[in-house]
Amino acid sequence: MGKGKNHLRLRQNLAILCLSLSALFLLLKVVSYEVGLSGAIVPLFSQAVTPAAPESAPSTDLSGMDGPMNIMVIGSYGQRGFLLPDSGSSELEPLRSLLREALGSARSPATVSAEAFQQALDQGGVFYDNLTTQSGALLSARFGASFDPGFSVRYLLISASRSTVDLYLWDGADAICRCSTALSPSALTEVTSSYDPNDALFAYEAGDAFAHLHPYTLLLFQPISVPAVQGTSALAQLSSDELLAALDFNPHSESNYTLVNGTEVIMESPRRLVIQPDGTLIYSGDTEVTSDLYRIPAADGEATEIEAVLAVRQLAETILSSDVSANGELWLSSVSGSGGTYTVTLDYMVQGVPVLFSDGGSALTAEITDSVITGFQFRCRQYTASADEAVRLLPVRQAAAAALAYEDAFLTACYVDSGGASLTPSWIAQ
Amino acid sequence: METYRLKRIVIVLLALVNLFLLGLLLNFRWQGSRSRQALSQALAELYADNQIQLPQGLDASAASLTPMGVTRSEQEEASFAQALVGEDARAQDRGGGIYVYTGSYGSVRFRSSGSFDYAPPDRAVDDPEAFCRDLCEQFGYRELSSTLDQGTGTFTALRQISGHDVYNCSLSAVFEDGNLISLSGTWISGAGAAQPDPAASTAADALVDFLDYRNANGILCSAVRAVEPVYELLSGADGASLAPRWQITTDTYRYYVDCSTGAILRA
Repeated sequence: MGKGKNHLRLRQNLAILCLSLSALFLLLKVVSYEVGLSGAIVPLFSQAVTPAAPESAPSTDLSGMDGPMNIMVIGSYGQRGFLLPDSGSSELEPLRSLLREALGSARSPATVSAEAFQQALDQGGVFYDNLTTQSGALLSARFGASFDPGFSVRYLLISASRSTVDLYLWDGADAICRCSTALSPSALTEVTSSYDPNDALFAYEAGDAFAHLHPYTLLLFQPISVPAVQGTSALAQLSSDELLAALDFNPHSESNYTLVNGTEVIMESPRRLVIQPDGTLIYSGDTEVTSDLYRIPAADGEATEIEAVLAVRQLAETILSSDVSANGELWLSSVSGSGGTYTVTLDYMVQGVPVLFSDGGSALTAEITDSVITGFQFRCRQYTASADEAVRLLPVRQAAAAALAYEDAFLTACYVDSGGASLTPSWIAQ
Repeated sequence: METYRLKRIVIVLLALVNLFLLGLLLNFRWQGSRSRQALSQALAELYADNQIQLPQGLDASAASLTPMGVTRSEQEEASFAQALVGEDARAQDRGGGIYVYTGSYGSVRFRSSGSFDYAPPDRAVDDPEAFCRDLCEQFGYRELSSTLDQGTGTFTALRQISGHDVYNCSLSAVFEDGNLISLSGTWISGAGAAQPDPAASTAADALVDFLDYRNANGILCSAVRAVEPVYELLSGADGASLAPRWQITTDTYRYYVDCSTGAILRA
């Protein structure tokens, strides 16, 4: 009798256990259907795969700090020109990748003549115009490479000879070199043949109407439209306290005051920050500042050009916080100096087209002394490119005719920011 | 009340709960099946109205593949290189993401985008077709076509990841009189198991996008032969990635539908 009761008790316990587990399993299945997982019980029984996240760029190079550039692809069937293309465009990626590989594998630079450069250009390949002359080391760093030809570079050409692919670098004046690369002629041909021609020409091959222009001005004869762009002060979305805290100033200091015209002045002697109503920041300080925002972390004690540029970019990003949405990017327009003392200038561009201020000034000019940012002037602007509205530029023939007064002028496009709400797209002759 | 009676009541209640949940589950499955059938039916009618046939047994609710990142594996790349240039292959970093492997049978160059090219000066192969098929089996390629005849011709194959084609990641070998003249293409290491993502686009979405595209562009097409989830290899500044696409094979051309934007590309 006792044994019988024990058996009954055991069977009942087992039944309750099985039914409970079964109910739990069915409940989970029902819940997973409710949340749209098609009955799969995740993550208990299925093997989820996490897509590999792309590695973030190391903080010691300028990869991704793009600048306005013209590109000409010279293939067997014609030429395709890109006038100030948007660097984020997927169509450009093979050309950018090619330049990265060429700069990364460049070896054995040898001085050549301008005629040799022209001959190589005539044979075909890919021509890049940086639009400004920039230190070769900085230009390489922008593409994740460390090759330094020892001079400033404006033009780059990747061209194939019989069995090798060469990289030419030229400052536009007397300094030209040719380097061997590890690219194969078939790889270059694969890239050049993947672009359909659009009848783009250099000024030197476009006839008498363009003879007065710089020979390497890239001319597109099809209608050129750029997005309509609106500009506002980027500081409008930031509170004064947030900005001051970000710049390592005390927002509650009693020595702060506001002028009649709305200009705010913040004094923390010897440091001084001026915030103008139009969103321009003017900072002056000394080398004794302790904030990491102004002190450049130099690997060898003295900041290099690249470290200086990275620090200035970091400063700009701190001021233009990530909450400020914008289509404008900052690009490196110039660097001068050495030995820990530099002047770094950044400018804006919108989808590859540079923004010029009507007074000729730059977006951000920073002074660095002994590896410390001791002064800067920053026009904090935010630009929004319209997805629907486009503005057509003057046809290139008319633009060239208007530039007749300027001998050897380089014709390019830009947006002009006069401080108003709308930017004006325009041709400029440099 | 004795415990065993209480337990009996609990067992009955649990049994009822189980029955209820089972009924609910079966109802969900039945509804899901009905909605899938209805979707397929509606799609077939839509296409029929546009004088286009759809393949039999098409699962319109099939989901696209999961986007995946691709990591360059130097070990796997070296293994691939060894299969081409010999076991004694030595790697040389040429900079810019370009690696050159040199061995007894010449040199092969790999770029950061995954593309490679190999042109051995003198590489005799006893059985070119077997050589290519072994390479495909070892390194995850699916044979596409072969025109090899007595040691002369071409052989092409397509890279697969977990059984799905990477449509722009191919391999092409050229032979002449039993000598390998060139072998080139794109190589990527295995990116892990692909898993359908319910939140991604479905075959039905892709077919609707394609129909819009076809009507807007006046494409000539009277039948869709197959709709398959594939990958497209994309190269960017941050590295390579596999983006899911729908491959729509018609009686005229093959098209690829971007799963995130619905944009159509003709092969």
